[in-house]
Amino acid sequence: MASVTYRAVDKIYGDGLHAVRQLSLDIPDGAFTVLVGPSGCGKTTALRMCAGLEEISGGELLVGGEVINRLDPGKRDVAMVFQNYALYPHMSVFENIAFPLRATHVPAAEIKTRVERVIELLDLREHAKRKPGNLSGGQRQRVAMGRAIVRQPKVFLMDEPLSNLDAKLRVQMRAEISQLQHELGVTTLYVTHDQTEAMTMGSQMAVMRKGVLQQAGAPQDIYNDPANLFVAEFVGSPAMTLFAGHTELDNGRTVLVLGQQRLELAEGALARHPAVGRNNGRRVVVGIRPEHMQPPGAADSGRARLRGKVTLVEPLGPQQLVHVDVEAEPVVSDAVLEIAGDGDAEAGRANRRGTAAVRAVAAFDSRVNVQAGSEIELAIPTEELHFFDPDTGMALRG
Amino acid sequence: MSYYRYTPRTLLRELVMVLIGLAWMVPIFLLLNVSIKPGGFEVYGSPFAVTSKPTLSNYSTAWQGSAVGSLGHGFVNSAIITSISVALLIAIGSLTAYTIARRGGRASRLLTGLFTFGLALPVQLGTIPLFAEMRKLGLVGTYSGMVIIYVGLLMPLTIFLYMGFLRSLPLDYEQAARVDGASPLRIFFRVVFPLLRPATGTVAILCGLIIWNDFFTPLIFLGGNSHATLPVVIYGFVAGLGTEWNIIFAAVAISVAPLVIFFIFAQRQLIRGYSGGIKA
Amino acid sequence: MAIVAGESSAGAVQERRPPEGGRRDRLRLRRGDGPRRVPWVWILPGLVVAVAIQFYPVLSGSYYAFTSWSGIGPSHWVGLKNFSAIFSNSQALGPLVHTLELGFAFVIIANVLGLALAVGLGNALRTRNFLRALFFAPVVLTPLATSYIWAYIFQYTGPLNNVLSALGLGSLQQAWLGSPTWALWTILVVLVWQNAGLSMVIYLAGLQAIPSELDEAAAVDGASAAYRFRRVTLPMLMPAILINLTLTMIYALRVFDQILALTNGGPFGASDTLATAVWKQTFVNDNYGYGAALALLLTVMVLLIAAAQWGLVGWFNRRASA
Repeated sequence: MASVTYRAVDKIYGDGLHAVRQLSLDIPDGAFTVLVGPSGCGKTTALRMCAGLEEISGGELLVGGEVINRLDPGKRDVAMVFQNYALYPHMSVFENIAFPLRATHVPAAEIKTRVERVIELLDLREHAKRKPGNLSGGQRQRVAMGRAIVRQPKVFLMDEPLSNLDAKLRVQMRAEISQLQHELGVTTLYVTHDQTEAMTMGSQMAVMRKGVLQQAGAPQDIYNDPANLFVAEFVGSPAMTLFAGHTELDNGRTVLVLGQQRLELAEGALARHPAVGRNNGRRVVVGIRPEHMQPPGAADSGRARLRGKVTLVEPLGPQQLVHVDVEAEPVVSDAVLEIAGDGDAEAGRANRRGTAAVRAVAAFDSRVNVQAGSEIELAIPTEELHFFDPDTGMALRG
Repeated sequence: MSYYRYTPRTLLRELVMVLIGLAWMVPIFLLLNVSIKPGGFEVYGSPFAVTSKPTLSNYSTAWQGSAVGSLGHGFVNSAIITSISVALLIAIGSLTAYTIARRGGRASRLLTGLFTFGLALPVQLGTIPLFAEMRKLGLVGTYSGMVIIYVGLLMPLTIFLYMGFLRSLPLDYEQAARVDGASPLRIFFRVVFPLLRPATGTVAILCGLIIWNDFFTPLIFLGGNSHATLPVVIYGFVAGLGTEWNIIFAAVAISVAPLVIFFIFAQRQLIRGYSGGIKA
Repeated sequence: MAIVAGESSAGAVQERRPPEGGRRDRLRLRRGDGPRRVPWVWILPGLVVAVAIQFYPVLSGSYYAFTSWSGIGPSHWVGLKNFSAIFSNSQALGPLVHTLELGFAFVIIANVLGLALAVGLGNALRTRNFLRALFFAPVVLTPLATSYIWAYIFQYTGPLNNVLSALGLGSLQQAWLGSPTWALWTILVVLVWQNAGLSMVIYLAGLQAIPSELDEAAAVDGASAAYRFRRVTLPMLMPAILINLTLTMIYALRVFDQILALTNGGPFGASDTLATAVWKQTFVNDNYGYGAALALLLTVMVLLIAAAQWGLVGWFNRRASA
């Protein structure tokens, strides 16, 4: 077991692409850290540098306090699970799992006991003699895990290991991997583009964009307090709704102006965001999580209201997603468009182009009766609002 | 297939194609038909008529061969030269192609260009100096001389076929093995070479057929020699027979029999190898 | 040596359909480090044997093309004398002319026939796989051995004349192989029979690579079958056509075995090509220098055609991706 530390690590490819910039990240011994971001953000490169499959252009990479920049991949004592598993198709499950031990000349008797223990642990006994081609997706995934576990390495590296599975299996394997990591206690670096995986699996989460680390911390902390617009939009599903607006001071009260609508900020909100409260005419970007836009009820009569028109209702069982067009200025920053493009590109872009309306997505309890086409008022707990600087995209704190 | 129904159009098309197919096989029919005729008038007077007195004696006559050597000898020589050459081509070619494909860089591109150039080079120009060199080294008329020649001449094709496959082979297997601590030798022999199997099959089939069927090279390097391969033996045999077509045909039939058997069993891989589907 | 049939076909057809993940890995290899530890010395055996057997002798042979070497003793530099001899009179020019005649006729007929067979086999035939095997079978048979079957067919007393007389066309009977007019074309027949199947399977692979929706969409749009073939299928078939044109041309230029078995270049050189002339000059007449000059001519022609194909494929790919 060992910690992994990136110290100002850079990766510049031969063709000039700066894939990772000044990455500094500390993964404590035994932690499960998820590197997350859209494709091309440098997360896989960061992982592969740790495996030794990419040269490190600058900075230092430490495993267990020891600089491993120049160490050969086989000598780093790390195990990697590849996106497509890289199971050797001509070897049986047993031989696949035994490969790392044979490659490092472990005595045959020891190989047998160790591989059998792993096969037992992963419930692969009936399949030990089969070839990967005859296994289901979940079984292959387990064999790939087995090949990593059997070495008893200092670090597990996993490169989108669940991306080839169907949705249901993914949820199941997500839990299995988390549990396994917990039992084995091996430091794990896990790469994914799926923020749900990042939120659910990791004890620590690191969000990257264009080679730059945006924010690292506990998943819930990042969700509750995103450092910038990119993280705000990327983490959470459905995404946070963003509005461009400004503040006004009105008889000592602070009012948030979104289009024609005025929302008074409650005491709690002013306490959390003093920088916003002190200002008159300050331009801000406001973010609201879906769960913080609710149908007005008796309990929140004092809350700020946001009016809009329901355009679509998506029932999801316990919840329903209510799409509401609010007349206000949309946010068209690079970061926002990048996220929109990574997911549902056209819908994301169309939402934000030209029109003077923001498509807000609220999560209602499914028992609330909402009709598409109707006008609606949303109750907003203003202390839950997120504020960002419209020019830098950074969260307004303090 | 029971759901299949002919329309007049598709029926006509099928019939026409079958007729052309049968016409295509007329030479093969003649080969077999004439090879069992006792000779004399039947060979020329009625080539298409099936003989009333079929005989296999032509085959035994042909098998005994002529002064040039027996067909049996030709078989053995062809088999030895072909199998050793193909084995060496696979061993050396896969290693060379792997190194070029995975090293990358300018040297790799240069070597790729060199071998691609070799792919188109006709054999005739180099044969003359090669013959002189081989004679100096005492390799003319020997198995090892022929094997060396074939390995050299078919190395570009072998490397080309392996490179095409390697380019589409994901790097993950090798990288996984590398992270697992395997040495380059172990990565190549335990991981890469087994993965190359489809390409190895194509190399074996194409190079094997080319060597087995080759006539020009052994004619020059093995002509009139006891190590002559099958086509050279047949060539000398026919020259001595003149117009005894029934015996010639028996010899031809014997010499192509292994190819026909091979074709029947490996037809799919063969056609795939030739038409370019060396995908996994 | 027999021409390598699959050589460029294998790459070019496959090149157009990279398997999943291929592109990404290539990108990675170019940009990244890859498994760089493969030692360079591993290429030595392959490189050494190819240079020793193929590249060095070709260079050395090119030198002899400008000498009057007789195979033994010293060689004398004669400049372009061998080449001027090749072009000096129609007798000496024969092999070159025959090579070109045979080459162009073979390219046209083998390709038209190969394409017709491929289209004819289509998808709907019940006997498709069987017929495909039937047409392809001659490709794998030893060219020398199978040529003897045709030598018999073309005999004066052979089956061809036999059939002609039965059809009442007795006046057409003749000694095909012994006729200066017909000898070269008998060789053409054998070449076509042996190799149309190869063109066919390459065209079949090309046809399979064309998404059937394209043809279906055109059919729904009301285009006739002939129009669809000309405007949809043929343009999409360009890669296969290019491969086939090159393969058949190079094959025809290098043909040796069949000629030796059928006519031995005769009568009176009427069916001698560059390949057979090289052999006769060097290994029968001991005119090494002159033979080398003929071989160099052949080599240059083959390389020009290969280069033209490279250029065309490159041009085609650029146009396709533009």
